[in-house]
This record gives sequence, C-alpha cells and structure tokens, in this order.
Amino acid sequence: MTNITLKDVNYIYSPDTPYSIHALKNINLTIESGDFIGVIGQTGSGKSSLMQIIDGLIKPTSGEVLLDGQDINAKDYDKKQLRRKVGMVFQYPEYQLFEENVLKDVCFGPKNMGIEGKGAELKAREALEMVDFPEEFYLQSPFFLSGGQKRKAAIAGILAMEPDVLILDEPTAGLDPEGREMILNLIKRLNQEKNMAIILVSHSMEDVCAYCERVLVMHCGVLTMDAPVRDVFSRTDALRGIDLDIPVSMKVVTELRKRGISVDDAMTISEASDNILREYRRRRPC
Amino acid sequence: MKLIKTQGLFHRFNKYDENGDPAGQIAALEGVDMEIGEGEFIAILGHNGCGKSTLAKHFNALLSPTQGAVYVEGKDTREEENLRQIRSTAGMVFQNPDNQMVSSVIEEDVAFGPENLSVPTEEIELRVTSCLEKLGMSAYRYHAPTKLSGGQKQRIAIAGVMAMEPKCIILDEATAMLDPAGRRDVLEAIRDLNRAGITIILITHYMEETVNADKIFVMNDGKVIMSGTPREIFARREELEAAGLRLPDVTRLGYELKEGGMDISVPVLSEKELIEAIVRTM
Repeated sequence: MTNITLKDVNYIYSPDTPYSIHALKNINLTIESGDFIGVIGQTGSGKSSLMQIIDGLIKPTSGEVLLDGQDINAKDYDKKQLRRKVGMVFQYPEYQLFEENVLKDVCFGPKNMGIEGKGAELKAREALEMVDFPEEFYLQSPFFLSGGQKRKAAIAGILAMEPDVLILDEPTAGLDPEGREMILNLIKRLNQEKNMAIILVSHSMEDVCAYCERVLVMHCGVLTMDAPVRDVFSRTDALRGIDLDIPVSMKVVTELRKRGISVDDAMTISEASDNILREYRRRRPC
Repeated sequence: MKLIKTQGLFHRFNKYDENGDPAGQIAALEGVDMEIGEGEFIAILGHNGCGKSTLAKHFNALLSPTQGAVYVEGKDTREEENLRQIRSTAGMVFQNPDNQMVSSVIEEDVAFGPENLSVPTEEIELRVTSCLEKLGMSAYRYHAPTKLSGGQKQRIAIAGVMAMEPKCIILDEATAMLDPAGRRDVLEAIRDLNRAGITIILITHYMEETVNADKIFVMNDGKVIMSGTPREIFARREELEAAGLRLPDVTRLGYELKEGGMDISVPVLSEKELIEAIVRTM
C-alpha cells in the first residue's frame, strides 16, 4: 500500500517579485492505493502545480509532502523511491518520445532505474502489453505512429517503471473520440487490475463523471472540494459559481427539476436516459 | 467567386523506411471537391488521421496538391507568385500553441503579425488591445508566454492571427487544450469574428463545436463523406459513428429517450431544445 499525504502545502511562484503568484494555498490531502481521483478546476487554478508538488518536481514553499510517511523534500530523502512509486504522464507525452524505436523508448525508464539489458526489455514488453500496443510496431520509429498509438507508447514508458501511483495530466487532450475511450479504458483497467492509484487531471467533466470515484476541485489555488464524484457534481450551483462546467447529464436533470419534473442525479448520459424514462413511465401507469 | 475552392484535390506523402529509402506513399487526401464562400462558418469534422489537417494546409498554400488544384480567391496555390496574397487571406491557428509563440512578451507576440504586414504603430496598439480583450487575456499583456498555461497560450495565438485581420481564419483543433470556459470564450470570439464578416473554418473532432456552423463537411480516409447543415449531419448517426465520431451528449440523450419510447424529434442540437422536448412529452 502506498500513501501520499500533503500537509498544509503552499506554493508561491516567483516569490518577492511583482509577478509572484500564490499557486497553492494550504492544501491538505491524502491519496491511497486503489484511489481513482479526478482533479478539476479552471486553467490556472493550480491543478498542474499540485501534480508537480505530488511528483516532487517542485518543492512546497511551506508544508510537507509525505510518501509512506517520509518527507520527499527532506535533504536525505532518496528521490529514486519517489520516481519509482509515482509516475507522471505529462500533457502531450508523445512529444517526449525520442528513441529510434518504440521498445527502446519504453526501456528508457527501467534502464534509468538501474535495470540492465534483458530485464529492462522484459519490463518494457510487459508495459506495452498492458496498454495493448500492437507487437508488430515494437520496432517501428515512434514518430510514424498515429496520435493515439504514440500516446499509448508514451504511457507505456511510465508504466514500465511499475508505479503505484499514476498521475495523468489531460491524457486525452487532442485525441479523437476513439482514442479517448481507448486511453480512459486503459486507465480504468490499471486501477482495477493493478490497484494503481490514478490521479486524472481533466477538463472533461463527462470523463471525470464517468470514470472517477473521488474528485478534487481546485479554485484559485485552494482545494475547495474533496469528495465522492456524486457529491461533487450534485453541487451544480457551487461548480457554476467557480466557472466550472457540469456534465450534460446533470445539466439536464437539474433543469428538469426546476421545471417540476423529478429526475434523480445522473453522472452519465445513459443514467440520465434511464432516470428520465423512469419518470416518464411512472407518469403513465398502464 | 468562392473564397476557397478545391478541385479533385489529392495529396500523398512519401513514406520512408528505417534507412531513409522510399517505402511507398500515404494517401492523405483522395479527391476532395469543396467550395467555401466568403463570410461562411464552416466546420470540418473527422477523426485523427482522416486528412482534415492536410486539407487545411492546402487552404493557405502550406502544401501543394499532388494532383488537382486549390484556388483561394481564384488564385492557384501552385503558383509561387500567389503565395504571399493567399497567406494574407487565410490565417491559421494550429493545434500546439507552443509552436506559435514568437516573442518573450505577450503584447509583442500579438503585434508580430500586423507588424509584418506594415500596419501603422497606433493601429497595432488598438488591435492588440482589442484582440487581447476579446480573448480575456488583457491581464497578461506584459507577461511572458512561458508563464502561461497551454490554454492561455492558445488564446494568445488566436489573438495574434485576429490582429492580422485576415478574410479567413482556419482553426486546426485550436480548442483542444482549452478548459470549458476558455473553449466557450474562443468559440464566442470566433462567432463574433464571423458576424463581422470573417470566414471561419473550424477543424475539429468535437461535434459539439460544429452546432453553430453554417455547413459541416465530414471527412474520413481522405475523402469528404458528408456535407450539410448541422441538423442534416447530426441525423446520420450510424454513418458518423462508423467514421469514428461521437454525437454530442445532448444529441445522444435525445436519441436514447426516443428509443425508450418518448416522442422527441431527433436530432436534438441544444440543451434548451432537449429540455423543451422532454417537458412537452412528459
């Protein structure tokens, strides 16, 4: 079991300059194995800064980040542990592909962790299998792959390090609908089969609603909500108040309720359809 | 005269193997005939790799046809001497904002285009102010692009093209990285520009964004497989799904309710339309 705890974390960009921005304000948070967390918030609300804090890429201005009880920013902390346990898939990860073929690219992570030759290749092959990457492309240059395949290869590069926590920053941005479903289903599988903790940063409320169990809402550097997905999205007025979209399914049911039609909350389109049809039939007893 | 016209347009990319030797060709466009009139709001829909970005690059002569022809305001894109004029007619906003930032200060970045067109300084000043305001970026005027998020950078890139006041703006998945509020701002800005008479060509795989277009072209495998108004296109659900596209959530919900027995006329294009239809049939 892996546990990440943030205690009173603050982060200020360019402190003591006219451009100083207080990006994270007193964040307290715990993440555990098996969690499937969605992180939402407007552009500039602090989502990416929060992810970089969790991944140890930036140090909090004040406060602590604990990984299994150890402060990752302590002077004597061995960052290798953090790198192995927490994997981060950046936005547009395919821009970071660089090797001459896919297999070598995916080997890069395990090799850096000190795993030699065959061992690294084995890990790479496992990771590529995990993401359903077609074997006939293993020795292809990553630059000739489609957008969706490139992204799979890039994600495999992180999975080859076998992280316990996987952070994904907008993993479906720029992908078409099929590519999007492919990546989201992959993430769901990793969560269910490997008990990997998933932190999904997304602007798509629909995706967050359909896949995540717990949602963090960031607003102006403050963690304003940390609750199960249904609790978060039933607070439609609060979300609107901080300029966040709510999924179409919730928009429709809340509007119908205002018009006097009682329909239950719905996180997905098919749930909305079921709930609306139930009410429709209830009004027509045969 | 049509603003843009393609005639039997083919485009093939050469493929190379590991040693750099030719290894056949990839057909990106296979016989595209398309006409775009001045002032129209056009959407080009299709999944990744269907050829829509290749097509867009023909609209401002970044590519030259393998076969067939493209005319921008009647000017052939194959003729070297037409390029300057074609490119000042059609401005492009690309997918990745990082590749489009040229300056270290936002206001200079937006001013770069009009400066190159020798627009007078006072006029540039006005355009920069108004473009930044339209995209909600005025507060960042004196900031450095490196401090901006992807979405904010993209809004700056759009402002930079807007500042050149081209007749036609082509947006190649330019909203892909924006948050919902940012996307709304951009789509709203695009509609404003269109109302002011600028032709808009919006390239996307989000059907939601095409609802307000005058006309949609749907592409698959390098060909235009459908064209029509949003209502005509959204009615062809199976064909769209076969082409790797997904209907917007409201439209899908409309179909599911109809299939469940409710008397709702499909396709539904907006939330308002759907709510009214449900309230009526309840």
